[in-house]
Amino acid sequence: MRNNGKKNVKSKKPDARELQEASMKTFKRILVAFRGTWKIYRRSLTGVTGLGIVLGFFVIAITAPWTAPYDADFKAPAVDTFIADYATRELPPETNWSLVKGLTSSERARPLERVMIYSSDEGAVISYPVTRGIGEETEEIGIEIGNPTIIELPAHASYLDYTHFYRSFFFVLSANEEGENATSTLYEYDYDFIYLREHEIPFVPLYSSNLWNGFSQLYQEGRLALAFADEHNIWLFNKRPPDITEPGIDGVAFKNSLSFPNATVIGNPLVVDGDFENGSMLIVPTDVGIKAYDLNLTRSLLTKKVINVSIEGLKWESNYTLDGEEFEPLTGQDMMIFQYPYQPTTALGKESIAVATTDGRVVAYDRVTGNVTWQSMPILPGIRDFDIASLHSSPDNMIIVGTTGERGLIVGLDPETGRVGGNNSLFSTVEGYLNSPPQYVIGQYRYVFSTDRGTIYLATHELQINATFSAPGGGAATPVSFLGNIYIEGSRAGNYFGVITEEGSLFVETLTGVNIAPLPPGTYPSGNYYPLGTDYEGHDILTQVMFGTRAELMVGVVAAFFSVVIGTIVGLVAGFYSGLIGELLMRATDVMLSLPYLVIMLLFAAAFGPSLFNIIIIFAILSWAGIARVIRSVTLSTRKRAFVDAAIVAGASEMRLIFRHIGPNVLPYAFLYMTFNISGAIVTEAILAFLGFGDPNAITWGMMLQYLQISGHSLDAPWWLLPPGIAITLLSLAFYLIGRAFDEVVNPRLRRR
Amino acid sequence: MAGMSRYVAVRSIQTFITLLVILTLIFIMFEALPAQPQDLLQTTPGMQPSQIEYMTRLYGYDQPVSKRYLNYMFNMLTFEFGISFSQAEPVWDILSDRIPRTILLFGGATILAYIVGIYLGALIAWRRGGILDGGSVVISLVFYNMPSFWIGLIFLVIFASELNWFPLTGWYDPTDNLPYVVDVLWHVSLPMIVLLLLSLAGTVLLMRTAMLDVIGENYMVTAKAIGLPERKVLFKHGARNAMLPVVTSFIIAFVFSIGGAVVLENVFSFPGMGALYIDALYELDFPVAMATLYIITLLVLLGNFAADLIYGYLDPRVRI
Repeated sequence: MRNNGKKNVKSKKPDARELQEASMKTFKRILVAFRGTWKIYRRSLTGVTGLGIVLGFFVIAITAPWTAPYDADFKAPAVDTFIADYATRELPPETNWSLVKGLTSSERARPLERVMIYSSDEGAVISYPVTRGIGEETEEIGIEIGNPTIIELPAHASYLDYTHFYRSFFFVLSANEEGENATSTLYEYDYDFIYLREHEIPFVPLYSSNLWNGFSQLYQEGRLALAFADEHNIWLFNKRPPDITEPGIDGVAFKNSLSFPNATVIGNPLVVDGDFENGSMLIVPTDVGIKAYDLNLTRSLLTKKVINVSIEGLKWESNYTLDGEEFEPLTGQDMMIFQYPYQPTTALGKESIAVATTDGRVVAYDRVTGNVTWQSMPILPGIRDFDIASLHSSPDNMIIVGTTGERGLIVGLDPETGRVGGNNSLFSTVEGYLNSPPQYVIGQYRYVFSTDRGTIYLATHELQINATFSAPGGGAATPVSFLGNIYIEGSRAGNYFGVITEEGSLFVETLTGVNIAPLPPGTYPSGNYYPLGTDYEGHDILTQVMFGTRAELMVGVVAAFFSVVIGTIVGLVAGFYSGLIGELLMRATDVMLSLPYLVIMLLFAAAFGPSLFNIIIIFAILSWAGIARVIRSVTLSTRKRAFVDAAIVAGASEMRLIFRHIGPNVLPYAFLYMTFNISGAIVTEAILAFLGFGDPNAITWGMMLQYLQISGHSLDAPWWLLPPGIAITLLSLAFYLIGRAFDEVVNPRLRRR
Repeated sequence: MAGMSRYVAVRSIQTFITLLVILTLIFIMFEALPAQPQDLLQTTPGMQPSQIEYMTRLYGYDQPVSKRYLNYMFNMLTFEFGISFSQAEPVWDILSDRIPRTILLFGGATILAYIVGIYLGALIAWRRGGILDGGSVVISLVFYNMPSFWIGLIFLVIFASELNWFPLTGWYDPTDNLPYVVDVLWHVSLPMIVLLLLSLAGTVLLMRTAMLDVIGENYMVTAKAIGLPERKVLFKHGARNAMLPVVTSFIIAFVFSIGGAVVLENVFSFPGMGALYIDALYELDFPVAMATLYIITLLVLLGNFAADLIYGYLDPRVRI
């Protein structure tokens, strides 16, 4: 006892030299052991090859940001991946252009006539006439951009839209002053940007409704409706065409106000108008419930023209409860939609309005009665948590825009049932969040939208991503805007979209081109050289493979490390305490070993959710059993050796025996199985990813192959199929070879006879 | 056979307990899935609350977890799998189509792999150090570490898409105008070849090691010394003895390869158990997913059990 005490006192105060010496000694010992191991190891040609390959991959992983031909999130520009007509225009510099809009003619087919861009800061508008012609850049029949005209509009417009109504109108909403009693003005312009008149709104709107422009079959007249709201007020604007008895007037406007002192408006209101007298409505989402008001139209007895529009009493009100349980509605501009703005219908009772909730549900109400027609929690295969950002409508579907993890999400719901259309297949996820609604491309059955990463997507009507574009020079500064169609011959049309690029120019391109990605290896019009080609989104394959090395090595090494740690501890304990504890641990090991590995792993992956971290955990949980068994038998045999007995006699504690005396002797085995497990983890990650349980936010070889499979190019893009698979095989093989060579070091019996 | 019956009894009890533990684990994992079948009911169009209640009661989701767990265990052990959510068919009817297909594909591939693997493994061990040996070992190692779905895709591209020798997907296509059996074999052959190559790698390496152990034995030297032809020494004296550990691993190799069905059937759109399992997991069709998982687990456990019995029979030391 006393001796021990002395020792402790002494060892508590080692001077620097002693410490250094001790560490040098340990270092030397490790060096000697390492040299000895290396001497045997290097005899194995395959082992050295494996080590070389692994080192090579490590170098690639570390240097990828500098040596890879492109950035990790690089995408080939549209010039390379998309063959289509396009045009660009340099814009006056130092102006912050905020909006692109296509103005279509009032002709029946609504061809695109003008493209206007607007600067919110300066109120400037540039309007380019566009026609069918020979494109300057492409020298083929396509869009021809004429000489621009410059127009002044109010600056800082919070609402800017136009429609064809009797004469074409432009509406611009602009706040007048700041402060408590601020008002705003709705300006009316005609199609040639000629100022017509203005209307004062007694507040500054936060929300704006849909712009209703419906035509009544019964009365053969059109009518316009538009509403604005702030937190407690609604301002409703209605308009009808003039009568012959009202010469010189280009439309009759009716203005109504409504205030909610006890409720707060939380989203865009909806207006419905038309020839169903009792169906004209104003629907307002507030924090206490949805309020639906009847619009009362008074008609002249003589001419049957509407002579007054007024907001009547509450038609129905629905608070946010379902089956007695309250739910929380989403707040924000596009939380509520009306279902058929594309085809206003007189089929009263068939239409419904939908509201999104914060827990990812959509609730649909009957427009006439306010009863819930359906409510649904969309279920998407492979996607767990998602948040709804907004709702939109299209001819076929009710479209949810949202986010899942770090990715944007669009989902198409069947408007009749609220289920995800196409048997839960109508959805897509994209990198970055959507910054534009999915805009329906007339005549194409497709949608175009863009994300905050500046990428433009074209999706089929089944919401599968069909093509991706990027504006020249890298990205788009504005959300994409579908402009309209230019008719080339007969009904053949070019469907043009427009954006302002980051370099400050207008870029328009047709969506009716051909997406030729995935690109085979080669040099492309942008001057870029893709050594191994690209995938369907235009990512350079070589870059992806190089960056994928990082995740792959990380997952392999970390997952294997944890599984080995668990296995070693279980094995040590089971070997050391061979009684009940050991027996129990070994039974648990047997259970783990008799699991159908891959099948159970998929279940775990589904339960844990897709991320690299979860894959690591799942692998560690399910892959320790083999090691535990080996470590246990080594522990059992080590325990019987003389030095352990000596340690027991010297009074070493059990912990000390396990970790200090037996532990080091099982370490080589632990290391050996770690190399095998790394190779297993790499293949496992690939398999999980391929089956749709991989991390969508990470670049891994497995995900590359998963994208290959789900994009439908697995049979026609060998340059995309081969590299990730070869990389997986090589890296997994390399670790396996290291393991085999190291096996010969640990088990001398295996050395060549 | 002293102690054999005791050994069988102990192993049976152990296997049964293992089965119970795994079943419990499966139940817990299904409970932990982020989406539950009740969510599906909510989204079904035109479902009245009373119907939802009825369905919930029918499938027992209104009961507390403990009760549901007992029901589940009882149903699984008595093979009462209930009715599929997504296809409104008894789960057994769906499974009974699928199980033979998967067993045909994976059983066939494993048997072929063993026949070819034993021959090849013996041969390359005999000529160890040569180009054949090195080449085979390297190729086997490469295949051993290759992701199965990837090599499957490559074979699809080459033999089904480019050369058009085999059909791309499925199990049987009535428009082929071939007799049923021939058409099925034609559909099965490409996935089977891929599986054969993949499992061959393991068998060849195993047989080679076993053969290397045998080659040094005295009776081999004797056989050579008395001037027996090389073929006879190799196959009659060598391979026959080396085969023992390899052949006993057959059952385990077979049942474990079935676990890989989820991947390979997916690639070849082969309507077997693995593809069914993945689809059921995606569609939250719990009865089907649970039953498929259970059948696969049971196959694996029974395979292990059978292998243990054979070992026990052949090597009395194991029985202790």
